[in-house]
Amino acid sequence: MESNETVSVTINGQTHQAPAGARLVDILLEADINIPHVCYLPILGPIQTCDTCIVSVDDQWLRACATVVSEGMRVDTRSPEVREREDAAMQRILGNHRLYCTVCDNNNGDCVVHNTTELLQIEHQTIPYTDKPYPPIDDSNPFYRYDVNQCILCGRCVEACQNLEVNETLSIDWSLERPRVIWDDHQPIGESSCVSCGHCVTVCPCNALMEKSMLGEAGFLTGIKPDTLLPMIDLVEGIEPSMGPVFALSDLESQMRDSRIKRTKTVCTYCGVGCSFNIWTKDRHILQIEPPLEAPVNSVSTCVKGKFGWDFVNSPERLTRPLIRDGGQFREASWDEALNLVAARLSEIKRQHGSNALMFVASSKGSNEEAYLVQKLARSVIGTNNVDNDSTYCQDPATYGLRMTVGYGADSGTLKDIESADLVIAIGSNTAESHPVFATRVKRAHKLRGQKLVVIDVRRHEMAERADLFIHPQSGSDPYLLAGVQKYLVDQGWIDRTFLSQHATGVEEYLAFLEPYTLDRVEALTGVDPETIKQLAQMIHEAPKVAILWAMGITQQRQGSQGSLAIANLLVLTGNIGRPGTGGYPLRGHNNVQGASDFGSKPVYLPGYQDIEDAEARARCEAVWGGEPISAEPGLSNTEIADAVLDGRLHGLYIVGEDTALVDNNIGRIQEALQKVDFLVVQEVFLTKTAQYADVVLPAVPSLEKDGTFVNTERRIQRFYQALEPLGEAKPDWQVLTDLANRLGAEWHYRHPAEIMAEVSQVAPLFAGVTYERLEGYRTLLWPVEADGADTPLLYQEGFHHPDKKAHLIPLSLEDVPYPGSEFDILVNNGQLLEHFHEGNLTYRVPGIRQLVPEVFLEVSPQLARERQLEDGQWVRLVTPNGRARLRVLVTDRVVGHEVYLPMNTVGEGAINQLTPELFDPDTRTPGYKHTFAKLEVLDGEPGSPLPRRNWRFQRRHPQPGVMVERKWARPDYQPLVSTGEEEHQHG
Amino acid sequence: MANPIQHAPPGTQAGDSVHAVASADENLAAILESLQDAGALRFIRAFLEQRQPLAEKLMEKMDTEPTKRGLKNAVTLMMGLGALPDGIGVALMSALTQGFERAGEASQLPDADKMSVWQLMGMLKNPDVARAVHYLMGFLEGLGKALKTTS
Ligand code: SF4
Ligand code: SF4
Ligand code: SF4
Ligand code: FES
Repeated sequence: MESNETVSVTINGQTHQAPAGARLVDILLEADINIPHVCYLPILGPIQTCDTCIVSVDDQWLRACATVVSEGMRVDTRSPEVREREDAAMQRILGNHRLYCTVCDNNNGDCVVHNTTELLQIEHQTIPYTDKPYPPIDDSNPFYRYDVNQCILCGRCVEACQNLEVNETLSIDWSLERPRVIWDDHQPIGESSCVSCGHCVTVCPCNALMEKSMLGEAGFLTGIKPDTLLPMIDLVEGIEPSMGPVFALSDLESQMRDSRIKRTKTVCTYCGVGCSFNIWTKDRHILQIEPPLEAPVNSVSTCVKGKFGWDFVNSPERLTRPLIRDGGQFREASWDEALNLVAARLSEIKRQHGSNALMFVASSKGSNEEAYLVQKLARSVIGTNNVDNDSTYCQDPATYGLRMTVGYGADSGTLKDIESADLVIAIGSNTAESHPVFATRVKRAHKLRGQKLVVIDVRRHEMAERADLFIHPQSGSDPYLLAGVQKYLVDQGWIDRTFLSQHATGVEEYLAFLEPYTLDRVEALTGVDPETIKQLAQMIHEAPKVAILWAMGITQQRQGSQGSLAIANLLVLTGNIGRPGTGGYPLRGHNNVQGASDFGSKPVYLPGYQDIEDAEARARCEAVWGGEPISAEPGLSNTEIADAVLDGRLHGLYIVGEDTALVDNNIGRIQEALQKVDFLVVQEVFLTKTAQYADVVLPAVPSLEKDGTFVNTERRIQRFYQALEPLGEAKPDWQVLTDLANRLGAEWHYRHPAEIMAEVSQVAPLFAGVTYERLEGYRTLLWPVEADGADTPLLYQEGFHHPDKKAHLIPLSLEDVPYPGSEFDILVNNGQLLEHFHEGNLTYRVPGIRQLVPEVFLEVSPQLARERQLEDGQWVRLVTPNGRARLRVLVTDRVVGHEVYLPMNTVGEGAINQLTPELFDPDTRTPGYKHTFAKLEVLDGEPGSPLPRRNWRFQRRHPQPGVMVERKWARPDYQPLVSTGEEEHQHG
Repeated sequence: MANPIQHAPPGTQAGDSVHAVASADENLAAILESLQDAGALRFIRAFLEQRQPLAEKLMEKMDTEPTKRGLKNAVTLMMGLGALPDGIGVALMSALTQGFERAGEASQLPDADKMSVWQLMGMLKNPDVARAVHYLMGFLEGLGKALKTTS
């Protein structure tokens, strides 16, 4: 534990001040003392397998990574004896590793084994390398491979898998004659519980674990076939066992690589976690994703999509030329022709039917700057507030609940707060699959620190399996459950009266509202028994710091806003907001669904959540934008598009990067509207379902081909940089929007997104201090950002975001929960799968992901399977009043009774939104996707599982405390280099 | 009524061309050209450009004890001589260039792609060649360092 105290330590005769509690290895490295540390990575803590960090401390031999500094400590890192021991430790490593650096794809200047050998100036190997008696390569995973002969048994991968990702697949089998890394119980990687998150590959200090995309590609000489390569390596070793020349040549080769491998910082384009990393490219070939330690959200963590899911960028189906509908076909057009047509038609519609006959949809995958320009185009060039983004489909209820109570409609803190909470409650969030890197930190805190975890969900997913308490309420009844637990907290005197009296209003009204929600009544409404509610209340009461995560399991209910309000109220009632380690965390789905709203693509908000009715805010924008006056009338939202087109109010639609035809609820109706609307423009990367209805399709580029910023779910603004040239004639959205605005008479002169951000900081006080310079590289800002650049990682430390600085407790207005009837007796729950994203437009274009999960499937419970005689692979049809979907069955106890789970990841005939109802949350018009009731018809059987049997969902994890280095130390062949009795295994 | 159109006309999607990334050899050529501009490294170029056939042949022909011994001597000699002398003079450069030209000429011969580099490697047994190679290695090391400091 670090503190503000310092201690003085003498290192090689010089005195250094170090924070008390710091690890010696960190202090040495900070002081530029180059000691080897092969197995140590700060985020993993001391693993203590390699012994290379050995130093002399007060005349004892200790591992610097496992030694905590103390006052008066005398450290020697330079004496010949230290050198000798370092050398001995490294020689043991080299006995497990062949140094063929020049022909190794890992020879990129960052190979720890190479660099350490060089650092120690080892000229000759004293322990000859010998092969390990196993098949040399396991390449059964689509994305990475393990080369057992190159594995130095450092255990970094194991520590990362067991205690950072916490998927608990890897271990080292120390009982073997020649130890090795194993997946589960000696499974091939591709048939193990491995979720392909890539942590192990990222932290591996050498080439034992490598991305397949690197192999044969990174080096100049690494494409040589193994048949030739291996004898060549033998030959070189036979000729010259001295390492000097080998290293001279390999260093040169490595330097040469620099001139053709480009490393670009980018931000993940999938979920709202906002992982950032360096993407390595060679021309258009993506070599690897390298998340560096300093990445602010994720450090070395990623999930399968962020680490390996980028092939879509080079998909042959990428659009490269503008298209114009011509009869029943598209024809190719020039940008000039296409944009002139768009400008002419938009002007014509505006002239004939008025500005409000047009509607704009911004992309939740596009940049902030692009979302800003979409709303600016709508408001100042066209003159309408009809502009929205994907958040209407998912996140607005959470925004609503938080704005009403605490003021800002966003996460109240960061992942660091979630990590340091004593109790995490996840409601309607399959965090491990939908926000995987957030989940890693919860799983880690739970495993290593004893953080408590409560999961409230209708499905027994991984987080539910891991939870200390799993509650399965009647689907859609969560607001009642939350009211019930609050009533019980009040009755027990377990609410924070002091906090409430100082920081909240509406307390008495709220307590009165809770009155009727007795345990019995809540049991009747939710199906949750009183004991469970009491246990939940007890856990909340006992935890000094509580953080609540929620996602679409709450927000996509008809009472999504009320559910979110209930969560916010619970946090206020118990004083769990505005302090480190506490708060409310709606987990945003898309990478930039937060930013698209933050930057003003909402019918009721100007950029920075300035109310459209706020005359001062409108005037501020008008002054900078010029053009049309901004109306105080709220515009239409996404979920009003279908009605507005079909009843003749909307005549033109401009959709940027949103597959409206698939993601709207009741897609039959929206597809009818897209067919009927007079003019539809779609800016897209692929010919999506929505683009197929367009009159003009404008080819856009993914984030790798442009510059910009995203806002993650923590409110963190992060820059991404252009890694690749735009493909064909495709263009970044911001350029297209600028070209179009100018054709419509505006005078936009943006040459770079930085200029757009500079303008945003003038119109939106929330972003006053946001500049590209302050966001350089891995620097980030969490809004609100003051003009001087001061940002706000944790909200509400100085009071709540209301004029009275108080939190407002708001009574809920609850309605009956819809239940399945006798005809439509199946509840169709839906959501994400780890491997795919949203409807799958991107992830189905990644061959490795398709190999893991080739098609969608329907999870049914063993009970339903028995009742309807269903087996894996059986075709069934789900029929609702709105439509039908045909699917293959997967029987699993993740779901129970008549509840089934249909992942949303399909563009085909199993698409969930063929079924979803036209029910809306009254406060936000977010669809109640979660209230889908169907009847199930049994069709033909088809043998086999729709999900390959090798998939991790069918395997068992193998939890261990870590790499269990004690087992190595206990081996008869282990000769300690340290003074014995000093071993310790800590988690940092 | 705009019915969905499921296909884009030919030439408006990336197609397979997107995978036709500049081949490794083109890359290599680009880098080596710049190295050549910077001081000519035809030797390496000859080696790299033919790496696959060359490597196979090397394996076939070189894995014999006498060859290994010879090479070992040469390499030991190179290492023994230490770092590159200060400032690579014009004379040294031209000596190297001459060497490269020999390699270049050899590769112009009709059966060059079969024999040239093999001959070159065989010549390592010749002490004059060994000396030249030492300088080359030193040159490479210096170049590596220079690249490191400039990058
Ligand atoms: S889950 Fe798989 S990819 Fe992730 S760390 Fe474990 S073994 Fe590696
Ligand atoms: S595979 Fe694991 S144990 Fe082996 S070298 Fe890589 S990180 Fe270390
Ligand atoms: S999808 Fe989410 S968790 Fe996965 S790498 Fe991207 S941002 Fe991180
Ligand atoms: S760095 Fe490996 S034991 Fe300390």
